[in-house]
Amino acid sequence: MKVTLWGTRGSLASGGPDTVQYGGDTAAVELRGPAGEFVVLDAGSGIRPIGEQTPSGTKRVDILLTHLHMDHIQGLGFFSPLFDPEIEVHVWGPGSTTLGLRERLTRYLSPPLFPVMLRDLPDVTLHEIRPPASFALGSLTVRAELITHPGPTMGYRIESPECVLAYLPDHEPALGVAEFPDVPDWTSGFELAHGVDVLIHDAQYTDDEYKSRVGWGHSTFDHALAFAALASVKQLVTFHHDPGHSDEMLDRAMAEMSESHDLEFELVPGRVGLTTCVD
Amino acid sequence: MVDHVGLLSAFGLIDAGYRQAVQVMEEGGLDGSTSDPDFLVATGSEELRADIPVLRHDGKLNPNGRHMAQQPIELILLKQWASYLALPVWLIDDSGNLLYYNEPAEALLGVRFEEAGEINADQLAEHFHTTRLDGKPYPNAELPIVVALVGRVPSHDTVRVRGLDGVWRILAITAFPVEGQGGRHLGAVAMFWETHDS
Ligand SMILES: [Zn+2]
Ligand SMILES: [Zn+2]
Repeated sequence: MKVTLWGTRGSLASGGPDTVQYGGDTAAVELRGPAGEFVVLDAGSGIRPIGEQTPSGTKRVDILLTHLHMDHIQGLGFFSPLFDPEIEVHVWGPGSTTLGLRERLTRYLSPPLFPVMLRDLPDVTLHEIRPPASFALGSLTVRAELITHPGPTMGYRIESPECVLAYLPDHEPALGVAEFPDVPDWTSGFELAHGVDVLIHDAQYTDDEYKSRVGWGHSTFDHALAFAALASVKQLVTFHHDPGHSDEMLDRAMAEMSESHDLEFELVPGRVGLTTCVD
Repeated sequence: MVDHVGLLSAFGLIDAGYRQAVQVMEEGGLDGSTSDPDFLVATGSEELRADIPVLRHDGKLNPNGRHMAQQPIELILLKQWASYLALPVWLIDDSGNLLYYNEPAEALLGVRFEEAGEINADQLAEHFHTTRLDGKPYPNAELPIVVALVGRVPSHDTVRVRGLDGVWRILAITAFPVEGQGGRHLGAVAMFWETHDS
């Protein structure tokens, strides 16, 4: 299994000279499975270049959406395989308690927000996930569970024989917890992340920023570290970088994290283009 | 004596939970078996259906046969909410186990959550004796918590309860069922107000 980060930014695409290394595109992660599986995690603006380099002869792509916030779906209409009748595209994601996935996605993929209607796309199949759910994509096993973030939001655990990945890009496990981390039973996302080889996790805020953003659904650098330690992961990849965080600031924060904590896992800065989980 | 487990079994709740879990796993899947071929509901896969006996009541998968440690997110958030409230709150799972009680509720139980942890349905039955205000026996099936758990509707009443400290109190109890995403019945929340009117 090979995992590549194409969009790492949280909330809003933030291109420019200050975000070249970590990347300005919003959430999109390419996953290539050992049996040729082609999976994309989230459809932020980073999904557009994934579509551009899709090899000819590709028959199927599976897009797993964690939730339907704009930074995770805004690239969907710009993913070229959606318009290629030779490629089956399967989109997986959560409904809400009152609306199905189709109705929820149609709110974006329809005028006036987008010129093309979902139903006009050649070969798209929607799969509404009702978490907790497990399903297979080729040789990969996917597990989806609800996690702490405003609105129905899932994290994914994806297992191949060689590598286990947990993807929790928008996650505030510390919300309302007096002393984070709590015990595993009462920690959002614990089961998804427990013992994984690679955890891609929200690390949006500094401690100072978090004070005025409690309940917005995201983690601080320290929350990400504490969650990774609690879940005994082998590698933590930071993700969902705040639009206001420059490359320089993020490099400094990563260095401080490594120096000030006795980490029992590998801390990897989530820069655009990073590949991990390589068998 | 309140026998929650016996009562829940008698009302078919535990069996119903298993049936619901099996049904959840049998819906949808990857084979396009739903009526709209373009729109599938993903709740399980062929291979995992073989694991139905190790599903929890809430339909959570237990693929390795191990105990799944983490509570559903709906209960985690309710616990966090309860931990900030000044009125006593109980959080009960779908089998009648008292998963969490906040600090104000510790006064009613006479024991701290940090010391005792979860209290299972059997122990609950031993610890609490409940009567009507006039001292007559209270039918188990009508207790607000049982109504919320079994009937899956909100319920409210004022009752006499003897706590772990042996003290009789008059408590107004409001209980409501916790219905999670995807139609999962996850348990109930009960709130208590101590009153001195009888
Ligand atoms: Zn986001
Ligand atoms: Zn979000």
